[in-house]
Amino acid sequence: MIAWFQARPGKIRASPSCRNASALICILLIAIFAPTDIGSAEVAGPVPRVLILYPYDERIPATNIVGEATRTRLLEATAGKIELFSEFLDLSRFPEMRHVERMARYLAEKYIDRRPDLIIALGEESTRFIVRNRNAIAPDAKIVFGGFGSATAEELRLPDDVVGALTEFEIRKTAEMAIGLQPNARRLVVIAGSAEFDKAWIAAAQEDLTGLPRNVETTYLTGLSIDEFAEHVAALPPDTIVIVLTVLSDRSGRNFVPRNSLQKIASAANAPVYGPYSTYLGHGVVGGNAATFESTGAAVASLAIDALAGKAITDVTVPQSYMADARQLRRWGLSEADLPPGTVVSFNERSLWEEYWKEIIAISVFVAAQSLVIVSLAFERRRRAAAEFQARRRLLEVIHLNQSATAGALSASIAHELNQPLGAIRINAETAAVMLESKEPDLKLIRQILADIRDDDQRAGDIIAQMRGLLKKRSEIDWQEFDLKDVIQSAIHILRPEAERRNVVVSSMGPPQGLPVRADRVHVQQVILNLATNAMDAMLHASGAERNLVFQTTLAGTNGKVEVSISDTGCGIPNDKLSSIFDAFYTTKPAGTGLGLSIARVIIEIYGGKIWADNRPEGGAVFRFVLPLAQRG
Amino acid sequence: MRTSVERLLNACGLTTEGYSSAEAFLSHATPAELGCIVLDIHLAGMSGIELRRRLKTAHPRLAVIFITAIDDDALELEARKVGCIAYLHKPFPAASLVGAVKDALAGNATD
Repeated sequence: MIAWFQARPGKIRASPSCRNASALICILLIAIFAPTDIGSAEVAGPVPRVLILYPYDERIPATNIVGEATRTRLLEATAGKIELFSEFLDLSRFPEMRHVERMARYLAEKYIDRRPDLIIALGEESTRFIVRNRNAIAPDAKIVFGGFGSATAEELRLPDDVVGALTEFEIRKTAEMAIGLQPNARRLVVIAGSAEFDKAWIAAAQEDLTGLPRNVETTYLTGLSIDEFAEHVAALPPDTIVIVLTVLSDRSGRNFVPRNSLQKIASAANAPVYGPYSTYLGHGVVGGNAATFESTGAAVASLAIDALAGKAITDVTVPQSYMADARQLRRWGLSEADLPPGTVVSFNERSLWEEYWKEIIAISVFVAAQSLVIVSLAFERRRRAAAEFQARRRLLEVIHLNQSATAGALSASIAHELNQPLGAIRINAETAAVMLESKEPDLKLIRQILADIRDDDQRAGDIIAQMRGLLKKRSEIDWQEFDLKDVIQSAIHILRPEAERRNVVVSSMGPPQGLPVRADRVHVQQVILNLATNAMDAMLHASGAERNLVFQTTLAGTNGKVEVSISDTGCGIPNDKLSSIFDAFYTTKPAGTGLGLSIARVIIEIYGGKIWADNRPEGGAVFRFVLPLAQRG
Repeated sequence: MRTSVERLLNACGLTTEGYSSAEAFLSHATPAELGCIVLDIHLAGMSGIELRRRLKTAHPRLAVIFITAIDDDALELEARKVGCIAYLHKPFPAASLVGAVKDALAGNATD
């Protein structure tokens, strides 16, 4: 595991080695025969087998990230037409030669019938393993490696046909990044441990960091225990730059995973800490310059694809990138704007607002607008319902006022109606009293008198009930189905005394069958009373000798309607007023409110009908209204 | 109403004839034999006042008592103009009718 970090520090290989001269020729030949673009070269022929060798066990993230990136890229480039095998050599826990040989024999046996066409070796150990055992495992396979630098590659003395993606470390770039972030820093402290690797790192860094701005004083801190490192960085002024290379072991000989030693130092530091490994990111460094494991995987895969396509390949250097930890930038008050262009900022815990403020505003505005519309529609709906309710209530109140006015106008009639039975009751009661005073009272007759009293009392009660019906106040329409003829008869009954008093002859005609309508009975009766009292008023000053009030009902065609006409022998209506008489406040009567006809129209329209007026050719006016017949059954 | 008035007058020992309308009276009754007419103003057809008007020429001394259920000053004025010994509003006490009838029969009616 540690070895994965042991990418040897050193300068980039000055130039591609001359062993690649033959490869150049190959490239030219392929360019002639296969002029396809290199990036997406299709792998021809049978599905190629690729074996990926992982140096450690399957739970090591660093190699897993590289391996996954490689696999993904390979599958993409071949559209899945590739057979991928993975072997975890576990060389960190089993470094013994016996294990290595056993593993080689095992793999040679395992792949006897499926020899890989290409082997990808991740890390130095895997590469050393496969170079040594390639003849047994896959004698014809091409080998591509990745995960270490050119210095290591040279040490391994790799054959010419073993090509890889080299990972280089340029500590200077990390230092420059730090100076960019901390332009006021005057001190640079470079830390490394006491292991050979650490010491080599210091030496490489010293070489690489020469020529930094002169006003930055560079100190190399090495040969301390981990606690001494921590104490030291804790005492540094905040405008210091700290670069941790690796602390594989400290002065006391204690061994560390570099990431863990870095974490200890960074957490104690009083100044920003930087480091040249992507694995340091998230463990206390502000950032650094390094090749990521993902880009290593992608570079390895690209080499493999080209190799499978028969193209010549040469070593490539994995592109490095600047990376930074947003949390550390915040911790030290450093500005993201001072980072080198293209820096990948991780752990960016920018709030949702910072990240998506435009979207949030747009969505919020939309939601707010929508809510506003919904609320206003709901409000409008309620307001309209309330207004309709109010209007309906007012209308019912006006109708009631009109009822009261009619009742008032007909009060003499009603009093007459009541006085008839009351008069009879009184006479009967007194007659009975007189009879009881005789010696032999005619009990049979007295019994008859009492029966008459009871009947007259009933009559009086009916008249009062009718009166109450006429005056009944409605807060809601009382829908009911009734026979229109009954209502007309009831209206005639109420009007008759008044008609008699005025010498008006009342008559009614109509079809024999019932005329069911659905409405509020009291309202329809009110319309009839309004029209009839108007008619009687119109006849009051008419010169004609005959005063006839005629009620007529007819079935209006086949469309299920009934027409009621109320005609008089009065003075008629001036022709130019026929259309305006139903308007409110139209009146010809000195004491009229001018509301009777407009109320009649409103009522008829509530129940889906129509009302109009005409003059009769023989004189007098006729008012007609139609109402829909209730559908029976 | 008519039945009850007849019964009352019978109970008081008087003989009565009843007619349901002015027209029925004119075609069946013999006004000369009558001592008094109790007449409702509001009748179906010819009104009580019109009947009185017609009787007046032939039988000017025939006593008439009007009864009515309508409380109307104009009506009362018209009734008194055509002549009557009493004008009674329904409901009225039996005694006022019986008293008026007895007065009429006694011939001390003044009109």
